[in-house]
Amino acid sequence: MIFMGILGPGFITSTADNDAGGIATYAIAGSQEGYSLLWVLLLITFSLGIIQEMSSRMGIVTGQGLAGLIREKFGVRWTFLAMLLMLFANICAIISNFSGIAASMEIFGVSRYISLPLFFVIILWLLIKGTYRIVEKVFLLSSLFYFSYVISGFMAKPELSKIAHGFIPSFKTDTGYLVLVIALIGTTITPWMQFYLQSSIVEKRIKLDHIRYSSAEVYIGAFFTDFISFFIIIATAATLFNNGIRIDTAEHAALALKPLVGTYCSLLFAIGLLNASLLAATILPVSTSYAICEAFGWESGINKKVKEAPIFFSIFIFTTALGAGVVLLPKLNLMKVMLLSQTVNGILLPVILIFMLLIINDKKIMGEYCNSLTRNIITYLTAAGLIILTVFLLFFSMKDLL
Amino acid sequence: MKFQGEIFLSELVNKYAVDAGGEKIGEIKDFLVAPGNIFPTVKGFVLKSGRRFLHLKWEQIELLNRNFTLCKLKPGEAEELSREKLVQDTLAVRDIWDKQIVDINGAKIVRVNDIKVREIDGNLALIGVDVGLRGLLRRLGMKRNNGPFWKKLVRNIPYDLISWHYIQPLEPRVTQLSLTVPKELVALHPSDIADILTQIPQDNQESLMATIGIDKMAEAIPEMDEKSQVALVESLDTEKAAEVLEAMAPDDAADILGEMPEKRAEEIIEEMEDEEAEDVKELMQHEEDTAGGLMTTDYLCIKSQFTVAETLSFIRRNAADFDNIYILYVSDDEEHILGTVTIHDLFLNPETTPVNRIMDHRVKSIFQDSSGMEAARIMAKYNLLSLPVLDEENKLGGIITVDDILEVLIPSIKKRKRF
Repeated sequence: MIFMGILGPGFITSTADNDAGGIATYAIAGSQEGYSLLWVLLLITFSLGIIQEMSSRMGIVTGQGLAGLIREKFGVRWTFLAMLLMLFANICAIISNFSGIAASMEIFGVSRYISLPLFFVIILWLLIKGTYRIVEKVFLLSSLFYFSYVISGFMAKPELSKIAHGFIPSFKTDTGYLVLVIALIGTTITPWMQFYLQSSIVEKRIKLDHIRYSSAEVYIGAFFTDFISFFIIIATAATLFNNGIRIDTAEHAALALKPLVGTYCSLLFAIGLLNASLLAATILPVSTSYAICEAFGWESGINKKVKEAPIFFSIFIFTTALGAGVVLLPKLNLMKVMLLSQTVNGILLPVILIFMLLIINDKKIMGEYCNSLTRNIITYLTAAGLIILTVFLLFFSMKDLL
Repeated sequence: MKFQGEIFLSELVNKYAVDAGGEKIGEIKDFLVAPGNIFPTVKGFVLKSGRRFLHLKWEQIELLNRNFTLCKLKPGEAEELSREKLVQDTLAVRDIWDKQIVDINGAKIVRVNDIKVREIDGNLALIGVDVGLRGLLRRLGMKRNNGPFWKKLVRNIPYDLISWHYIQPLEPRVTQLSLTVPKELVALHPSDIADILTQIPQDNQESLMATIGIDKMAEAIPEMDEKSQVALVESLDTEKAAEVLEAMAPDDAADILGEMPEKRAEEIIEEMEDEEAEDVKELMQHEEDTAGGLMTTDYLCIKSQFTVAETLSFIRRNAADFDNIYILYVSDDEEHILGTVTIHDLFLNPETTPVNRIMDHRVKSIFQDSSGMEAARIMAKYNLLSLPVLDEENKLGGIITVDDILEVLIPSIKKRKRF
């Protein structure tokens, strides 16, 4: 009973996790590398669960959002840095989602030069009217679409032995591979999710004694989202990788659904992608504005008038406009954009993780709810892993250039 | 006079304190603050030298400016700061900077970006806080620059300074530094206080409560959105919760108790005064959206033989405990309604007139099981400010007031969410 009341933040965040960038990254991972990246996904699922649980715990114990906590513990300068990085990562994610909107609309035959301005206006209208919460719930329901990947994955009859093989760690050092791995991690655990999840938890006013239920919901959400990701990889690996098809456009990614719906695969894929992109494209700008206003003490609130909260509205209009605008640039390969934006997220994630770790281990803030040693180790390892991968990426891309 | 004019603490942090010999003692990192005569004052500085923290008392300072601080100390004379002192005392940078406070004038929550100090009566007093963009820029290290270009650029950024008189700190440790604030804070409209309460985390809610008192709390809580109301009352200890609920109108209290887990609600009702507890329990028996669920037992009932004079003194005796004294219900011995009398009627008639001669017989009422919308319809049609609610035996059980009906009609109006 209590669980039903708490259901929400973890699930919504996890579902929004499979946004345009997510779908693109997992699809590319499956088509390019087959099943060999499954081990990464498995490891990240643990990290995701733990990191989300940390966000949830911080929200329940302190009653404040992550941006507010960073400000109170580290002061203005560090907050400025954190917000700058978050802003950059979020803008990349917004760009990725508008790419998703453009790509899916192109499958329907609508040019990106029409769909982008159109949806830009629609999203702003939804946000300014303050009905984005309803929108959130609507999109959530339609995320049942993801199960089509699960079914498709089964129908494509992938070889189980090859799947099992994918869980054994393997590694390559070419830049394309590294970009993909970092993107894989960056799209599963995004900086913006940590801010968004914590804010949602705070708003739900979950009581301290219900903290276990909240943790459970968060773990389940994490498991569920990666369960879907797992099948996206399997479905694309079985259909595309096995046939040597690389993903250059969304049409290619849609082929993964052929076993399920035959020639309607493009349509189904486009609907799903559009839905996922719209959900994220509405949540992201708002979450960005809330975090920045919370950090610097500016008036915020989706139900306020624009005059009452000018900076709040300016930020989300600006980020949405930039997101839509960049995608309008000519000759952009939309799939590539979606992938690279997740790589940026992956590179910036360790910074946010380190902020979170420092806060969650501070007894003054968390009291008895500090992190246990295991959680600390796992999270530090995740951050360290990402940093090492980034260094490798820089190193090998330098090597390629020289 | 150690210091002329006004300065911001951010301009002092990380500057050096030097001793009588001109040697650096340490970098200024923080400031020990304590309540003063009017404003809180800085009792001393916290200096960092290598790995140690040193305590520089205000009396030991000779001269203070933006570049350095000159002390009367001899080399090595500075005292080391113990951990206990750091834990006990209130420090400006650690405990006030970057934290949220209440801006009483604006009735909202703001963040402290910087603190302004000036010397008053030989002490360094905290006179105000900077909650605006200038404060942020100063903290980011943008130095004061008197060049004409800079001045022009910066001219349009407004000052956002709030005098210490008009702020209410929320951190428990810092609340003792607030000034004659209780008066001003308490003077805020309950709706504004509710706004503030909704935006701050639980710990800070409790310390704010301690400052404004139970009665003001009881006025403010019903103005919050339902979830926040319940969360707040549930977080209090049973005794306090009972006190607060008693001070509230019974229908508001019943609504909150109804949303709590049964056991907890029972515990609190146990603690409440019998009369209030009875009222609340009675109201809790009804379904939320029915007339019974919307009504309150806060009304006055008189007998038909009462004269105008007797009624007026009756009202006077009861006005302290009842809010809805503008319409009185005339009933017989069986609690059936015979008519209504308004304060207007009482003032227009001679003192000796019996009430049954001036009352309005055309009483509109509603049964306790009817819906909220039905009640709204009746009240709208007959222009009623309050509508009596009857139980199965046609006896008067309570009244629905127009403010509660507004919420039925426009539910979104009370949803004051945080995000």
